[in-house]
Order: sequence, then structure tokens, then C-alpha cells
Amino acid sequence: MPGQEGIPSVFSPMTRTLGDLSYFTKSMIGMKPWKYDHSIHPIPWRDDVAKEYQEKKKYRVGVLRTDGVVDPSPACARAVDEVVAALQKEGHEIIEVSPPSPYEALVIASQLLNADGCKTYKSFFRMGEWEDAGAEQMSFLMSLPSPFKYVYYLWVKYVRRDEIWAGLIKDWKEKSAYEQWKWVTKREAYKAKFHDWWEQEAKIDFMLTPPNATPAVPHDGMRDAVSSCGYTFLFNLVSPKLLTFDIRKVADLNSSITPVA
Amino acid sequence: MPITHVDKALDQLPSDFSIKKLNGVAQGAYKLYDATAMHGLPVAVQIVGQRLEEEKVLAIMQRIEDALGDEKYQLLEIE
Repeated sequence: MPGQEGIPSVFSPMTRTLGDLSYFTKSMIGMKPWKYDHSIHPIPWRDDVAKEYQEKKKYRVGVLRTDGVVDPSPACARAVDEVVAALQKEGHEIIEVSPPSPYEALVIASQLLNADGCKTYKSFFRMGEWEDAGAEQMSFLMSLPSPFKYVYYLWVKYVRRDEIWAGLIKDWKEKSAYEQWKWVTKREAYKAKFHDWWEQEAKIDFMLTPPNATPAVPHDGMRDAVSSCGYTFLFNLVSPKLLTFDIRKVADLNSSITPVA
Repeated sequence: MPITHVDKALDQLPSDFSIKKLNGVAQGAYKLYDATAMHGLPVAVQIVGQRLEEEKVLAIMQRIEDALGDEKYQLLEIE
């Protein structure tokens, strides 16, 4: 999405069943989309990979129970527990993992997503169009004059003693090109760290996490919950461009949660 | 992938839960959490692979669905 390429968006199908999703994905890739979309990697469907994981006796599963920013609500924690129990029963190896700080990823991602001060996406608005409640919160903070913001930051950090929120709003402003590139460097460093952690340390087949801290929120609920998107935003940061779609996103079928990225 | 539904009997916040003790991000999320009002909503988990691992992740999701057996997510009836 123009203006939000610091953390590329992912477009994903939402399907009713897993069978639908597999069919869709396989069909899309079967159409060789790289022939007409320059942004797609020319990788045909790999049946051998699918077969390998259909048959693999024992998975090594990393469970991430919390991102350390927003603990999952009881319902979301219970869903993770249920899957862990089912996998254990089948004899898979379950380990608790702690990847490089998901909070650090959230800070980097939120700085980069709207490094232009929310200007580009707003430039597409026509008369009578407005931001959704979540985006409005972001651009409101963005537009506060910096002395006010600094006072707010100090109040959050030293009076409310909320290091997490304070760290997110500290640099929440429109960035110069130079500042932007500094954040891009941080993003790349985090991605490298995450990849090394996965390959060298965790050595897992896959990671199991809640997709969000709470179930779907009511309309305009993102006004309050806009920053609570760490469980998916993290992966927008570390591995964007999964062909055209990110199956993890689809994972919350029927859910109306829309992370900002 | 969807796993279960919110259950007002199982998913209430603990009695000593205090939203004031949470950080600013968590407060925004928990302001809206209400197991009774959300009763019946789908609850999912996220299966994460490395980049460009669609085939693998889909295969794993199928295995998880099989492992859940009768406990697997029940779709809403289509009329």
C-alpha cells in the first residue's frame, strides 16, 4: 500500500474451511501469477514439501503464549491450550519459545508503518471519506504538536509508569528520510535476529501463537485496540511477501479483526 | 485457524483482574473483552512458518485439524 511500505501489507483470502484455503492457494499458484504480477516469486507449488509435512512423524512445535505486550484473554489462551493438548496426544514435541523481543518488533513496525505522518494514505481520501477509528487514533497522535506529545510521553513514562506505551509514542511523529532509513536498518537487524533465532536456536517446524489477544472486537473497537496487534504485526515485519498471501492471517476465519497493516 | 468459540462459563477474566494494572496497549484491548457479550464468537490460533512455506503450513494445519478429531471447530450451519 502506498505510504505504508515500511511494513508491507499482506493480502489474504478468508475461507470457510481449510480445504477451501488449500484449494485456493494451490489454484492461485497453479496460475503462475508471476507471469502477470512482477512482485511474485516464481515458485511453483511444491508437492514434495507438502508431502514431507503430511507424513512427518514428529513435529517440533514452538509455543509462544504471550508477546509480552498484551497477554491473551482467557478464550484465546484456551484455544492455544487445546491445540497443544491435541498435538501432545499425537506425540509431537512441544517447547515454549521466546523469540527476539516481540515488543521491539512492535515498536519498529509501528514507527515504520506511518513514517510519513499518515500523509500518504490520507492523500487518497475523497470528500466525505474518513479514517477508521483505529487509523484516526494514530493520525491524531501524529498531529499533536511535539511539546504536547513530549509532556504526554513524560506523563505516561514517569507518572503512569507505563514503559510499554511510553516506548511506542516516544518517536511517534513524521520522520525525515534520514530518520526513516535508520528505522529501516533496525527492521532489517530485527529480521536477521529473528531468522537466526528460528534456524539456530529454536529449530522448530512451526510456531503456535494466539492471532490476537482478544476475539473480534465490536465495530469501531479498534479505536481502543489499535496498538494491540502485535501477534500478527510481528510477522508482517519479519516475513512480508509470502507470495501474494499470508495464510497465517486467514487463520482467524470469520473474525472481523483487521490489523492495521 | 479457528479452534473453538468464546464460552461465557469458561472464559471470564479472573476475579483479581484489574485493567488499571495493565500497560496502555493492553488496556485498549481489555476494555473490549467481555466473555459474556462475546459468547459464541470464533477463537483461533495462528500457525507460523518461515517465509515462503505455504505448502508446509497448510499441511501442518491439516494435521492439527485431524489431531483435534471430534473437538475440531464446528462450522456454523448454512441454511
